[in-house]
Amino acid sequence: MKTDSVRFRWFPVVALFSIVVLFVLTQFDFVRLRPGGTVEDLASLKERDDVNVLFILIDTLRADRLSCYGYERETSPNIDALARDGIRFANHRSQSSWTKASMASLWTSLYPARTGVLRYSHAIPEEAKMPAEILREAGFRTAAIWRNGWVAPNFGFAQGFEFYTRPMSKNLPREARRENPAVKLPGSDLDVARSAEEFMRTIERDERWFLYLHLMDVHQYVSDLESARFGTTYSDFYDNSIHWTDRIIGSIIDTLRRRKLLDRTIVVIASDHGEAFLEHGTEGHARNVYGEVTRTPLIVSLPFSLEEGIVVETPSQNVDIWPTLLELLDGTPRSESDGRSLIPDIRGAAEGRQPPGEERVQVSHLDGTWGRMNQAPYQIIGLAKGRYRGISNNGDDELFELYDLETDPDEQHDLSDVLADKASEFRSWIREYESRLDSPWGAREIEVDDMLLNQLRALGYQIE
Amino acid sequence: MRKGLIVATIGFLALATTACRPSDPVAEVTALARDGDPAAALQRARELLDENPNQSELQLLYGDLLVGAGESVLAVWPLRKAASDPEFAIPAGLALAKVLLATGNADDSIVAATEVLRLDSENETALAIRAKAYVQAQREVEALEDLDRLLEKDPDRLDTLVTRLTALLELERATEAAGVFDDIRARLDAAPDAYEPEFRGRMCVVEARFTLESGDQEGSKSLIEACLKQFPVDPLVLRGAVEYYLGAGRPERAREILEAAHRLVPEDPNIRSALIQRLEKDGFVAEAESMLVEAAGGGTGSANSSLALYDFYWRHGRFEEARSALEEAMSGIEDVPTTISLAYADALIEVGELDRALDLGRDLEPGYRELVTGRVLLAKGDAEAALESFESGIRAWPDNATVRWLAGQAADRLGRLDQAAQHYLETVRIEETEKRLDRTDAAWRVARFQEAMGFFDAALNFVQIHILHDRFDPEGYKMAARLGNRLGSQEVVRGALLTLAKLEGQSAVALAMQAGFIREQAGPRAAIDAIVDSGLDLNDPANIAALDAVIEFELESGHRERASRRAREALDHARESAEFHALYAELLERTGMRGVAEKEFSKAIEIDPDNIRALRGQARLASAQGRIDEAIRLFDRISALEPASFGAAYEAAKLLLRDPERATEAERRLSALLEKDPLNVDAARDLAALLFFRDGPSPIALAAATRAALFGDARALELKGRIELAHGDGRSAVDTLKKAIAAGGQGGSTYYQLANALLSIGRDSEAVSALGSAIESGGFEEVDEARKLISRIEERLEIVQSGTGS
Repeated sequence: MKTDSVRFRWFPVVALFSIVVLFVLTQFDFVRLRPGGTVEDLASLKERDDVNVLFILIDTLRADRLSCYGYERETSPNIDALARDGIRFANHRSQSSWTKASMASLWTSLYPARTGVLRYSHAIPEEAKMPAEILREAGFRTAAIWRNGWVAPNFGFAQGFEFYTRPMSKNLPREARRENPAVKLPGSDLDVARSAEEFMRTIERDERWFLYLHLMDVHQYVSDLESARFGTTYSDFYDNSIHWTDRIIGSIIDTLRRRKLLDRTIVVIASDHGEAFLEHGTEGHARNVYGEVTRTPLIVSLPFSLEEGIVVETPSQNVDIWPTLLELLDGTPRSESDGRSLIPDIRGAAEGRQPPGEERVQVSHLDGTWGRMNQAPYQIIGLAKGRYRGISNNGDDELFELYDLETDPDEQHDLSDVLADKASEFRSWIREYESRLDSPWGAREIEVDDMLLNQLRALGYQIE
Repeated sequence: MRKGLIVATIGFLALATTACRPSDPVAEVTALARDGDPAAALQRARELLDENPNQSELQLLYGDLLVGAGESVLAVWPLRKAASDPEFAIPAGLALAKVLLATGNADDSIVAATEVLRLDSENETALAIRAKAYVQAQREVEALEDLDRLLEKDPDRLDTLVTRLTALLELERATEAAGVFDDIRARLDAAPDAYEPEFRGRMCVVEARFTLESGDQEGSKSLIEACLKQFPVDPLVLRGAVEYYLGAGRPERAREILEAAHRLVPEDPNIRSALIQRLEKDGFVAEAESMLVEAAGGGTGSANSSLALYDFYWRHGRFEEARSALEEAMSGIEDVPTTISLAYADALIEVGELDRALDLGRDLEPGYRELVTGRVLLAKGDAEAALESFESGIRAWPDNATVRWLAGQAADRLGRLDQAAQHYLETVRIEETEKRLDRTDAAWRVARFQEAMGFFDAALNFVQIHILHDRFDPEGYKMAARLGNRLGSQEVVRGALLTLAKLEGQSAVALAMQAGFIREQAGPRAAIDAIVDSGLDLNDPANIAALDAVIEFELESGHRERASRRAREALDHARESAEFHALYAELLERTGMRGVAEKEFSKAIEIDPDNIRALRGQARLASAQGRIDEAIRLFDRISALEPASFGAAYEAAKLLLRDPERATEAERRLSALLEKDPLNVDAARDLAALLFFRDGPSPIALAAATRAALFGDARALELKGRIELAHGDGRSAVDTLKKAIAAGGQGGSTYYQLANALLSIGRDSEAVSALGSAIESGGFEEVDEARKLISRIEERLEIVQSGTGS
């Protein structure tokens, strides 16, 4: 009796204590973080009806400048954190060094020769099936917040998006500065991050969404005093801007955390191309397809955290991204695709057996005269397979280049004369690639109005 | 106790329930906004929407509040959400269309307005927004359809007529545009008081411009004058009239117009400012200054007047007066903006008040603070600390061309030429984009650096940038021609020389350069023919550059007599030409007739006491005859006459180097020279040698040698290698000395030094080989020592080998 009485007396105290503890707990992040998971849980994602996709495209980001890709500078703590308990593709490549061609491939999962989007007046035709269309049909709210004119709606990139919005702030925030004076894009990626939060504020809890954020501050070399920690050369400021952008990524992830969406969202970090710093005599991008402008990062953070992040070493490329994501979301393989699902590679890497990458091909393609309407096309095509990479310069055998990526990852020593047979083999593969013009849709050309052209010129591009 | 707890729990729960009880969220947020706390209103709206986004009225209110807070970019999201609710589709849709139009998203604005029109086809606001959006999106034909509909509803809508006029002009439908214009004018004439005078003035100027574009110059002029009569002080009319007369090549009329307007409203600061600018541009600088001083009124005028006066003095390099004017301006400003504080710090630095500038800088934000600190440190001579400050400043403010340029200056002074070039390069990058290449000489500095490094392509690129902003600089064209010749581009050479020839006093220089290039290809005879065949009068002192070249080529061809004859002939034609006397004197000097040469130089100086060529000749002769002080005095005089040229300063320093007792003065002069002329390899090498042989392998000696060696000069490389070796850095010394040999420094001494460097790092066999090369080359001081050394090493190597064998 006495015992019962004591128990009864303490019940309200325990209840109240529990309420208080629960209240306190909810104020901290750890109850809102993602649950733990393993590679086996990948399969369960398609069973869920609450998974969103946040696709963050960091324009002009080369992989080797991120700490998680081995860079000695700590440029990217927030991105590294995503990689640490997510999936990082260590040997990834974009399909071009120019945004429009690259993004057309990324969205359609087709190589540039097949998208037909190679020159500045080319556009993705309506017949193309874009991931946003697929997801919208599947009931996702779809929105894009973009700042690069090369993905403007008239180039066909808005297909499937309910909202395709460009935040047009007038100025950089006071604390930020832009090193790359060749570009005059208004605003900064802070506008994108804040817009993303407002977008999420309009979403109801039972709605699924796909949000595409196209960040431009690395392209513009934006930094503030806090992120400008790596020196004062042009290349240093590129790193500074990565650090600045990484902070913005951190704030976006924080928004997900605050809105309790981390355990319901796949976050993808990718890029359209890299940036050159005179490695092959040029600065910037969209001039050639060497590694510095085509080796880009790919990081996938899942709605659950992996105890140990997975690093996929087998070669991958941007055309693989959507076949992989669509398979994760609904198990359906992407039709009409040059890419492939990377899920077997992820599983292999998790199990400690990387599938052999010998036969994996990585293609990067740029029409060297894309911005000059009065000049004939000049196709620059890079094809990597195994340890070698061949680069064809408009099909001219004299100008063909061959690099051994194992001994010369920076592509400085052309071996096309020394390894003539190998070079010949690569030449024929590239010819084969070029002959595959069986686009599922016809090419589309549009007239680019002066206003858009000027906006694009403001990004520093030479368009004649 | 138990009861108490139950009551407390119920109380707690009751409180929580009350706190969670839904109230009218729109009323709550509206009340906060009405209370003058928009930030709190926004915050509360966010909280409420986070709980439940499906509150359309609140989304609409939140969107409106965001627009009011200047966050239009963000407002599109709540407005879209609200517009998706049929109940709020029209007000939210209109607000959305308006925001999208205002933020430059014309296409999206069209979509939003069209959605409203779908629900309410007669909505005039939606039609008006869509019409403007169509115009912004360059879809003028569709805009006209909407505008016609609006005009059908209300033919008197002036803003609609103006938008219609814009659309028609964009479509180049001039006749219809003229009709609309007449319509607008008729309305203005019929009821002038119904419209703002600014609008009427603007339309008046637009009409004049129309007339001008139609090709009717006289008609346009009459209209401009009529506008001026009607609106003599209207800013738009004044601007239109001034532009018209400037375009017609009549700046004096433009000035008269501004003067007349200023007389009518002397207190109008904009008109006064426009007039002052006009006066200055037209060369009436004193008049402009007088007006500025009057407006500033010794500090009694407005702060802006004092600022304008400061700007004037600053641009004219009158820093003391600039500082005073700025102080007057600042005394009239309550909260002095950072940019003005920075300008004040600049002014203090220029007048030498460095510590005050430093104090002022301490209160500024980081980018500015470092800029001021760096400038002060540089002015105090501490280039190292200055560079550090500038680099910190660059981090805070990377697109500031001035900080970049100053960092380049500091690096230059430290002899870190490649670092300096990098900063200058970034300066050019910024200036080029901002179209402000006139601000610094960075492009010229990069071009010189690249040329010295042998990167001719890059140098050409930068000198072309330099020429773009400094079209009258002959040195730029000379460098371009030189580089074009190096690169084998006849097009570049031709273009540069043609432009150079057009500059005042440069035609003979251009011809001489061209002949020099011909000489390289076809020999001196062809070069002489090119000059002679050009028909240029070689007996005209203005063409002395061409005569110089001819004489040089004659001497090269071994025709000394011909050279002399040409010089004499020129002198006979112009006995009063100091230049010709000096030239003839030089020829005599070269043939060893020093006495006669000296007389000729004296004659030149009698005619023109400041004749550089003659002064230099006399200095040379004085030096050759051991009259060192006299020679130095003459070289100093040349330096004073030609402050931008550094040859004489170097010659003077070299003379001092001959006398060990005057080494300190030589060191001072060489250091000063390198501050002004950072790329002077000879001066850097001499300074390094002086310091090394006098004081041993100091860091300063090594820095000077590094600067000299940067451009691949073999002697400089050898010296650097020796200093490195003496410093105990045998590995670097080996690398440097190998570079010296590769650059052509293959004297015995270089090999001997290399052998010593190799020995210092234990590479004995290679050292023996280097010593062999040294002895083979011969002709060096240490040849005996080299022989002994080789025997000693071989002996040692043998001992080692026999030891190994046993």
